Amino acid sequence: MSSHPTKLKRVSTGELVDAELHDDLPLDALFDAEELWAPERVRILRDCVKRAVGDQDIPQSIHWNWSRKTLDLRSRLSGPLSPYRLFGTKAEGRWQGLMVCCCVGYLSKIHTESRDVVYVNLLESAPWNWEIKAIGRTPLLRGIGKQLVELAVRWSNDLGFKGRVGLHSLRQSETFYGTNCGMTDLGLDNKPPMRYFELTEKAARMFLENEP
Amino acid sequence: MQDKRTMTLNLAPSEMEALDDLARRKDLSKTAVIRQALRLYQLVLSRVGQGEKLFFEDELQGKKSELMVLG
Amino acid sequence: MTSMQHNPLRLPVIREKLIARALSADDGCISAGGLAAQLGMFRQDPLTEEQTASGASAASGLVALSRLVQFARREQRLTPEAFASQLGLDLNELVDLESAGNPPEPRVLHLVSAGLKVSYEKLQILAGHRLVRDQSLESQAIRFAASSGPMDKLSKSEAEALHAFIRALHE
Repeated sequence: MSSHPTKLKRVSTGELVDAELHDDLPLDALFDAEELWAPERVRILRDCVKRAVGDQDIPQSIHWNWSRKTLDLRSRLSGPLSPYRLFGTKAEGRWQGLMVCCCVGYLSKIHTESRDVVYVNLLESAPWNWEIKAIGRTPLLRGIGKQLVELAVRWSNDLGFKGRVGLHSLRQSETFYGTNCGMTDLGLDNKPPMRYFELTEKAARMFLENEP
Repeated sequence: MQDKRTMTLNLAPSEMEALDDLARRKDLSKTAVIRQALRLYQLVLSRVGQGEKLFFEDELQGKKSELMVLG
Repeated sequence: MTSMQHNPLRLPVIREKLIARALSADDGCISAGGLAAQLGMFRQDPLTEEQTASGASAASGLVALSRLVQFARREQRLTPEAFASQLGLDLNELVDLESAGNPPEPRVLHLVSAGLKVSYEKLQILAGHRLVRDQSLESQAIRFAASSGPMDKLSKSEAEALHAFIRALHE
């Protein structure tokens, strides 16, 4: 497991919090995460139901379960040269965000030639970091999303894909990927029925710009 | 960092041409193409080894055919 | 469980600017998951059904798109082969576009946007890929779609209609 020190921000106070970016997690991390995320999902759903929140305002990943996903991921992550890779952000002793990516079998939808992309299969932040306006809930920590995307972009560069990254976004996250991350919106897909976004090489270079 | 090891690869002209062509089309180095090929091969063997099957599908023509993978 | 099997990523030691941008991003909703749909964990989004464009405006969007491409080609007096080559399209992709058949793929729209220097997002709306109400664009598209049919050379009024529509498609 390799990790890199970083910072997140506590939204209520603006204070910076020490965190770590992990770029090669074992499957165990998913169980560790979901042990804490699952009860929080229940609390959020209970609140939404109590306040009669409409379907469209309930977080679309409320029913996800990373520990159940291990059953499908265990065959994909096994072997010395798996094209799948698990990333995460940890702070205050618990997982704040997780991401699974794949580097084989996904081609750019922008390029005419067959150019590979790193595809983000799954990405989610811990439920206590969600903003849910309908129940007046603000995130605990901020800074998880873009730093996970940064890891996907760096892996894409390492593979020779020049930073190209693709993903299908849940509707509630479309603004984050289109506006905040600078990804190109390539429209609604059929399989899956979600909007597909792609980070071009130029946008990837801008994303990683670190000059003071 | 994992130590890298070097090997010499002997390829027939047609094999080298295929590798060059893939590298050009995919805008990857030849080494990167070979790494991707290894990952794909390993993924296929791993999933077939667990009882799954690999298919080609032509949605327009409604055709599906199995790729026999001998592990 | 699985031990480390990938080369560690190299991150710069000092990432202040990257971190600052990450901390200022509104990331209260970041879930992404094509795999979730594959694993049957995708909740059908009620808004996806509501947002489906009406038949009439979807059809006129495609017709406007086909007219745009036809008129742009005829203004330059190019054959379909030459125009396709200029845009970086296959000939059959250009023919499909000009016949207003099926909605064109995002890649095709991207090339048209770059070639004609018009907004990719607005082309997406015309093609029905992007479900955003843009009443001004809708009415411009309907007017343009009703322009006369193809002849070899653009008439003065056709040229005016083309340029007015291209202005509407700029960012």
